[in-house]
Amino acid sequence: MARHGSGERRGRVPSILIVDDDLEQADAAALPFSRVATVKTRTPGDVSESDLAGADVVLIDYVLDDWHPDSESIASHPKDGVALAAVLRSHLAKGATTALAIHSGQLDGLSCGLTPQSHLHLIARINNVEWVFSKKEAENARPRREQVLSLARAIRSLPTKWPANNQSRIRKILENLLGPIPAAWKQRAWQHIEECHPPIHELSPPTYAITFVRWMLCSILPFATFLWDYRYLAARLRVTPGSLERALKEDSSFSRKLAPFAYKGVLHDFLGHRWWRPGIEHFLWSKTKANPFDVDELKRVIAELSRYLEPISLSEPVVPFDETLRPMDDLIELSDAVELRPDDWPSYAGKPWARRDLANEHPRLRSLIAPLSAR
Amino acid sequence: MPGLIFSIADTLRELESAKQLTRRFTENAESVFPKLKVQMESLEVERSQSATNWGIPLSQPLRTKLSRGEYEPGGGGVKVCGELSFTWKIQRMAPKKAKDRAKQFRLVGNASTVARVFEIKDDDSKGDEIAMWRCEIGDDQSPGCHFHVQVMGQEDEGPFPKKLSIPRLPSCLPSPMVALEFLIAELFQDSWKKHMFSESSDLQHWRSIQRDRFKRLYDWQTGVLSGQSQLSPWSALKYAKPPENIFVK
Repeated sequence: MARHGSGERRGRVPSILIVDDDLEQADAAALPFSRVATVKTRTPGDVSESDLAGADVVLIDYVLDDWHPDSESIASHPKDGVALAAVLRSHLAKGATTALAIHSGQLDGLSCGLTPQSHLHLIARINNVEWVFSKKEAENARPRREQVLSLARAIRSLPTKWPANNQSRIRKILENLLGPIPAAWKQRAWQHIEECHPPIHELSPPTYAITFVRWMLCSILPFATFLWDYRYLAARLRVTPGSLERALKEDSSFSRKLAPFAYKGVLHDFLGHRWWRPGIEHFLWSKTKANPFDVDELKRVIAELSRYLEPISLSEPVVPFDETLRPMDDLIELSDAVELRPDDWPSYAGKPWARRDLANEHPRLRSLIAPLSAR
Repeated sequence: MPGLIFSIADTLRELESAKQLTRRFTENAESVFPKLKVQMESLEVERSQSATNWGIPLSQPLRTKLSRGEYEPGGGGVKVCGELSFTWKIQRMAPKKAKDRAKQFRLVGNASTVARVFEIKDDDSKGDEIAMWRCEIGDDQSPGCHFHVQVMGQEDEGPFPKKLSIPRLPSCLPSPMVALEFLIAELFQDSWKKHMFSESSDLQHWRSIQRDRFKRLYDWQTGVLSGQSQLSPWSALKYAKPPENIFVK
């Protein structure tokens, strides 16, 4: 238990604990991490406090049907991985920085009917774990191995103390975690970060740095916030998302121009590339001679940026979502869209839109249309 | 007289509350207001001192929902919709320390808000423009009133053609957002009234900002009328120029 909260400097290799009712399956799940992380595998009954304390990430299988504890007391027999995660969390030291995550090939049981691909952050929140990984790779935003390592590295980089009552120190910590922000747009960046309610005020229990990781995983990265994915960046630049992706891939000069605005902080590789919205606004302010929304100015700027960028002819482009609430690559006109109000959508995040015809076609989507949009 | 000064924080609050208050009456608030906010935030933190055009372009106006004749109390008019655009040429006022955020900006040129009303056809598509007025803020050289409204004046032909720059009707609409409230309150007489009587935090913010502005505006005008001017009351108001800091504390 000495590692967490003691102020000791940690090593660089991430540490992963895999808990499964079938040890052979746990060993198989450990294989991809063998060269890049310290991995332990355990059955639920064999997990010790030191195993927990030494782990950055605990991956817990959801279905534990093959685990038969000695005791017949129901209190000592968590029925599934979510219940086991709660038990394990109760054994973590106060302020411990260990992420508990479920991994399963059968997310139906804990997804409350939500489509896993687009709702893993919400499923994680509902089940009080840091993340939910699907054993079906197609349901994860990125390969599970990369995501687990990204999460483990994020946990490893957390400070041992979280001085929520000392705003200047906590801000310094956040600066370290969120990565370098150039002075030219630092003020603007902090304004945007503050609008997204980072856990640095009264709701953040002292020393619970893990709340920061949860905030990033469940409240920031899945949405358009102070960080943008390529679709929102494309909408802002008024180009097609496909052409932006292509330009980033094939035009090194363009990539270099955007590099200062790429998010490089913790979890930067968890859900895919993100760009600092305040950085992009700063960039456009200077490039458009203080006319950052002038359509002709923007056209001139993107023509200079890369020949791969294809301008859009939309007047007011928005990023639409499909019937499973996944963002789509084809931007649409605001006047063709309806606003959706999914449960738990952060108020500070960019609004989710859907094509009006698509929303009317799918009853579930139709039920999410914001009242004012429905008129 | 240098241009009027406005508080950036007040303007940001005004935008936020205007967006929330007018959402149910507008089609594209979610597209228009974030742009206005980003521009204002840029002014706050970017150190450039060059003048910029802040506003809603004529080509992408803020559009109201369809008014089914609701410009008449109780309804009964024809179907119309409104559009609002504006341009304010403004300049950041540098803070004392270069690294600090700017707190104020100054009007340094054109300050024009255009409201248009269009007739709606039977198939609910947009028809002809049937009304247009411009809320303007004058400058040193303007013949008065400093805050005035002009009707049409953008076409060469017809009533109120471009060559005729009068009348400049006195106005009490000191910002584009107040001009928006005016437009919506005209187009949706009953529902706006009802909306104004339902308490909300956005309305509280809005009321607080606008009450202060209106009070300052009317206090200044009262001061003009109470002075020892040789002019008639109307002429005194026509030729008076407000102090640059009329709207800031």
